[in-house]
Amino acid sequence: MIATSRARKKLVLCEKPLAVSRTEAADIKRVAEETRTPIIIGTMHVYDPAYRAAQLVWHELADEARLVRSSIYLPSNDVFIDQATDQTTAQAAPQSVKPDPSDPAFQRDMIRAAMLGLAIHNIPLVREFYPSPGILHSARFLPPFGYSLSMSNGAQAARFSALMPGQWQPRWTLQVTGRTSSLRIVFPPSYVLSGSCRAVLASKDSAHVFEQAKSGYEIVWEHIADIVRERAVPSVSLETAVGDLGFALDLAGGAAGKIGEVP
Amino acid sequence: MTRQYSCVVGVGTEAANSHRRALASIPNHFRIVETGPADVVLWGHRADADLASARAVVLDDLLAAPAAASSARLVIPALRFLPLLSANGLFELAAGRKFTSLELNSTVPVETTNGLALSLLEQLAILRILSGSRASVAMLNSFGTGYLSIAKLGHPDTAVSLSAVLGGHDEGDLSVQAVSPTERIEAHIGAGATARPASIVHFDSKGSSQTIPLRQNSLRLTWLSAHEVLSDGGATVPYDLSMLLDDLATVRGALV
Repeated sequence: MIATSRARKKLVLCEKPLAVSRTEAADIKRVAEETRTPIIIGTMHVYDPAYRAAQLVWHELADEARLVRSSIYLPSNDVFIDQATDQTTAQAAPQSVKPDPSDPAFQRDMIRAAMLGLAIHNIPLVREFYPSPGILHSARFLPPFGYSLSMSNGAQAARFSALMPGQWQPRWTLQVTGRTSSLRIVFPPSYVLSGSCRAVLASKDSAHVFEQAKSGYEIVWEHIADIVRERAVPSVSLETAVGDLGFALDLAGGAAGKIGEVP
Repeated sequence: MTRQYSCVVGVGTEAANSHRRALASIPNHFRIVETGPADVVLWGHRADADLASARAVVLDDLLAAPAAASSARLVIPALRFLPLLSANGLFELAAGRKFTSLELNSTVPVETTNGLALSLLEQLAILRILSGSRASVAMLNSFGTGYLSIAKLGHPDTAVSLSAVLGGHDEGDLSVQAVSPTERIEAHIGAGATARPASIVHFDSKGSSQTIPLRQNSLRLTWLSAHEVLSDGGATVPYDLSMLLDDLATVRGALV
């Protein structure tokens, strides 16, 4: 990232996560600002047009988010990669030692990887309702790859759950309960271009449905084209992206620390 | 021919109104009497009925279970979600299956009296029937407008998370997510006295299947259950007083 920024490229599209430590993220931010290199993180759901529209209306309602729930239940990535592209067949590298899923050290590594590789997808959206992790009350690694986390910060709380790969259809949701409103968002799985999320914002006497033809991926690439042509600046600032990473790193460290604890 | 029993449900309270609405749809099973002795008495939030002569008590004020139990022969807890989930096949579907994760979440209307305690009680009741074992609370964090909890079942392999929040746009709801790598069950049910059906969907490698939804309210099912128990000496209720008292002790210990 740093070398690319110094190479004076017009833009850097970074696969999430932005970095794996705060120091790395700070270095990337400093060099990107020095060289005025725009950086876009590929968190596609934060660009999803239906999500953006629903989030804007939620913001206008001035309700307070009380409980935020992120659930990511997915089949194997290959299922959707095969539906989105034409992969070359690669031979899987032989695994010399099969890890023991009950080993706490293995679970700590896996839950860190899950926070930075899977939870990171929803974290930029979660932070729009629940800005910082607060106190992590419980964290558990779920085999083969997943997690169950509970946290609260003052009068707000959040629940994160995930499991993959499953032999069922995907369920990728973000649900926000406010004092008088509820927002329920169902996202399409990764890789495929199957349109936007479907968001339902319900208040006492009405419900609004948000759904659009374009996916977050398409909007990201259109946004990239606009930035490269100097028609736009990144809609997600690098400062926000660094904050998102900080949230994920706090959870990764906190969750790994909870492994082996008896609640 | 259906045997008709008399019942006293009181007037003027929210509980009385809800149960009257349910009873109005089963007039051949129950006849509401306003005073005097009756076969069944509703123990609600303003309990002033004659329990001593009743054959059964339908217990709406669940947190008052010990008081109601002291003078009644048969107590039938009037849970808000469990009867419909049961009648719609959730527990049958989950029986004998091992889940990696069980997650129950409730949204409770802000103005509900003791809403969070009742929510935890109902979640423990559902867990008990779903898993076939008693659930204990290993951790509970109250965050002002709700709680986050970790529960333990007889077998430690399942991660069990419970949560509830005061808020939302509706009369409240409850959702259940039961997940393993091979199958997943999603259940969602609204609160309130309407007959809006529960949604229970089972997902596996073949796709998904859903039972035909029942358009019945849990309170109606509770009264039908009471009728069955009164008519058939061998009939039992799936969630009885001993279970309620046990779960109530857990709730009181957790929400101190």
